[in-house]
Amino acid sequence: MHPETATLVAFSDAELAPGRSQRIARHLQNCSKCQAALECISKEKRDFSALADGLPPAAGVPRGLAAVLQAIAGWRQAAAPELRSRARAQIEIYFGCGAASMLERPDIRADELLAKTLALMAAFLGQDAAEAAVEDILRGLDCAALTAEVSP
Amino acid sequence: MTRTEDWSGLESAPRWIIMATGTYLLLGLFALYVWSTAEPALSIQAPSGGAEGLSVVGMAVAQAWLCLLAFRCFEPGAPLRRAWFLMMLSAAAHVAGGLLGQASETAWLLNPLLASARIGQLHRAALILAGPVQMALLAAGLLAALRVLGKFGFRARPKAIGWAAAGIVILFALYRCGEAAAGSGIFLVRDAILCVLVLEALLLWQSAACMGRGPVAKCWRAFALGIFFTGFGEAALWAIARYFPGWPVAALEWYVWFPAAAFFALAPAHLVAAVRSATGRVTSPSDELPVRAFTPALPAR
Repeated sequence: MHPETATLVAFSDAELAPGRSQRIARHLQNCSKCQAALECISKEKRDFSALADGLPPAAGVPRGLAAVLQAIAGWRQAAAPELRSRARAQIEIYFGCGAASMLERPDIRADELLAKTLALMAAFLGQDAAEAAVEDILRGLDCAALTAEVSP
Repeated sequence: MTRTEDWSGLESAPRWIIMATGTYLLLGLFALYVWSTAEPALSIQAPSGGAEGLSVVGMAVAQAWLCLLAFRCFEPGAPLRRAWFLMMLSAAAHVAGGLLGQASETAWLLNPLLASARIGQLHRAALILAGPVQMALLAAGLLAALRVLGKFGFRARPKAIGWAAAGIVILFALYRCGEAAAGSGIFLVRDAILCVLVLEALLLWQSAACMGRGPVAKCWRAFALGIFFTGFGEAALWAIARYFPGWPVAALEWYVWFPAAAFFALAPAHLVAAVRSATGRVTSPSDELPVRAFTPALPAR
């Protein structure tokens, strides 16, 4: 079974747990599709980093990359309340309202809340449960539509 | 949010434990009622206590197994992994001590241990395993858990009533230590560790109260209740032996330890159920994730 794109991204960022990372590495040795996917992810990460550093985009990078980044920023703004609400719901399900209120400060950013949710769940329920919960939080929060709107 | 059916049934483990405990206690009450009403007319023999002891050991086996499952939920190096490992060892010590105790106490003619010259040593080993060793391992595991809870901000000052209850248990333990009957080393150590456990239980209870009513909070609350019931059981046995030696009150001895064992099994059951619930959700297709927008050129699977 092929790992999901999100898992490959986490793998390339060395954010997976050691056991899971080893399993993915073993799978990658034998799967050309996933190797290609990982290469694609790495390339796009490099391009994004180059853009963030103010360097000119590499050859072959779509000209609308800046617009895509703008769309991502727009998505972050648009999806933040939903993300916050879902993260709070996950904490309430597994811990309770008290834990959710303690974690969700009024000034906390949505991505910060998501990271804290991941850390809390990993500490008390294990890495697999935490990753599953975060996948649940992110499910359906697609920015494809926003990207299409601003793309040239 | 969609969830898959949990075919392994572990998500319902807490319900099974609560149901088994309720049934056990109800049957015990019914037997006690029958006994108290029929005893004047019929000669009914009291059980040896072995059945009650075995049921507690059975619950400790369930606890050990569930602690093993909880332990395996955590990656090496995770802070709570060590806590669950110690609690698993504690449950295993309880099982080993309980079984050894039953084997060395069973007055059955075919019991080969009865003829053994080392039966006294075996009995002592059983008392140590199921007493100080089990409690010390549990105290160490809960201390590790309290550290993690504190690190995440789940820490609250116990209320006055909590301190009062803990004070009563500690005074009781100290008083019992002074008694000649409880003067043996095993009971002294056991009572001392019980004092530590009660204090830990108090802090666990407050931490769980900070969290709310989710399964993780219930897990730590169940440990606290298990310790409170252990303290209550010690006090009840002491009071029964001292002030109510006759039936039917003395029959409560049979049912004192089962609720405590059930709470100890309920704690890992809540955690395992929560993990199963989290990991048992339907996994999303990758194209629903936001990262899909970053990787539009990925080859289709």
